[in-house]
Amino acid sequence: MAFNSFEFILFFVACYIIYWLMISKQIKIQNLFLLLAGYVFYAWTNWHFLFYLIAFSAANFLIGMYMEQTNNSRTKQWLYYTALLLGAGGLAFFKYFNFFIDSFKDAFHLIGIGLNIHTLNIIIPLGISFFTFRTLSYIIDIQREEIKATKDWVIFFTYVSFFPSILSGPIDRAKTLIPQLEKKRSFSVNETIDGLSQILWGLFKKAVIADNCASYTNEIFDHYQTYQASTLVLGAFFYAIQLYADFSGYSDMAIGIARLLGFNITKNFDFPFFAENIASFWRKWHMSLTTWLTDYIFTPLNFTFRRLGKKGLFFAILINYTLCGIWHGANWTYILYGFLHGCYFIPLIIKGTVGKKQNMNNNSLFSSFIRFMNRMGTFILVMLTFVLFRADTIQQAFSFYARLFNTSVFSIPTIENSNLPLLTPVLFITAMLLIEWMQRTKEHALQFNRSGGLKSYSIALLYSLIIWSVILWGYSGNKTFMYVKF
Amino acid sequence: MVNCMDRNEIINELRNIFIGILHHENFVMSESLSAADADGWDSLSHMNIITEIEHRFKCDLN
Repeated sequence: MAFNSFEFILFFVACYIIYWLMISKQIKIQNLFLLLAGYVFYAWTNWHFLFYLIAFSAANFLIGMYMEQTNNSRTKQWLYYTALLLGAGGLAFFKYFNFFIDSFKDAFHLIGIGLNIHTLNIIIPLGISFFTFRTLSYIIDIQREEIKATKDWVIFFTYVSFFPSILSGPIDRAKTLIPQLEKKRSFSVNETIDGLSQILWGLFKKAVIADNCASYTNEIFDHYQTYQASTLVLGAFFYAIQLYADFSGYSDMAIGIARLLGFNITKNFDFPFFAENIASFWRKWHMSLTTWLTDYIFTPLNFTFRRLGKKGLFFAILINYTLCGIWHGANWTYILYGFLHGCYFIPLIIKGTVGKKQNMNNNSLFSSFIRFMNRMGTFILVMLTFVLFRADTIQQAFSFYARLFNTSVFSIPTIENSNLPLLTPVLFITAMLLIEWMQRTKEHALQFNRSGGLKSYSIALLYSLIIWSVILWGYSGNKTFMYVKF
Repeated sequence: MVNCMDRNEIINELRNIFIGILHHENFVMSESLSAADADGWDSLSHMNIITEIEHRFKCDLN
């Protein structure tokens, strides 16, 4: 049940009415209702994995509670490692088992030994990477004594299966979401308007930008061997925009839907294509995953390697981003994608500017030429790695790169399919980037101050244009979101 | 080095380390000072603070 589908609208409107009009005074019933809604939402696509989700939640709830209760440090340690094994083991089996087997066979094949090991026909549970990372952070935070385990099973199960973000994030931490589930949510008109605005912007990015870009990227990537380099550059550009608009569009809708239910969930994107270097890009792209990895992978690694100086920092970053790549899926393309991003940090490590944050709050409309060039450079570097993200195999990606770097890159790009005029997507992409640039200091692109800023009729005109764009140009064929497969 | 320093000297030394790494003085130095109280105290500067403390005080913060 995708957010941009008719069935989700019906599902959510029914949930919303019951949630605010019928059970708004009782938190326990509200939470129980959110839990049931989460399970209906999750089971809609494939009900078989609902049992896995329930069993997984139950195991982590019990382990968390026993970790809290026990005074024996060895028992606590044992419970902690059991929970880590459960989470990592589930991910390893469902997402990576066949990849490990195939890679193992390939490695032995290279040295002339043929292994007769068979892969399994495994279906990956939807959202496994997202809800597993939630439970892992819950258990690790209990072990670090940063949070206390909840004793309310409804709250914990709801935290794991919170339907706005279970399939594609943001990856909410227990310390962010559980306190909100423990408190009474009150209806707010301002929050509702803000939530609806964010949903509208997310829908615009998904239906108008991402899904229309998909037609172009599919055409160009599927026939890349017949196209000249300039068209391939255009394909890579459209794919970068598609990926951003699709995933950030989903995140905007998830955050907006949660806000309509009275929750503030984790921000996931902060206009990443305006980043001036790769470190800044990762502080703005898939922020909930970046902060998760920073807290639980990078920081412990950096601590371990701290006496190695810049080399230690490089190793920590490289391992962190390679794992970030693997998180996306069991394919060498993702591993290389993460590895390359880790390597992109080398100039910043040498200059000692990895942790320096850029100031986005300057009031000038246009930044300096240097800053503009930095943004362009960062975008091009990221865009090139997204080719790996799109390719099925490393060989395919390299073949794409090989065709990309030749003199035809300076020719005018053309697409053979006459049903795909280039002007429309370019105009919409320009509009999206322009609006996001002007709103880059806000929580989302359609957040306007009541005092100052744009006049109310300008805002009304902008909203009308966006709504009409969704109605007229919103592509209705593709309902799935790209990050659901992760 | 720590043995011959009193509490105020240690706090003063820590304050200098924080200023040197965070590049500002907009925080109130106290025993309860945490990352949430000082701008720019992220995971990287945290590690730099630890490394610098270990270096200056000749200790191991494992």
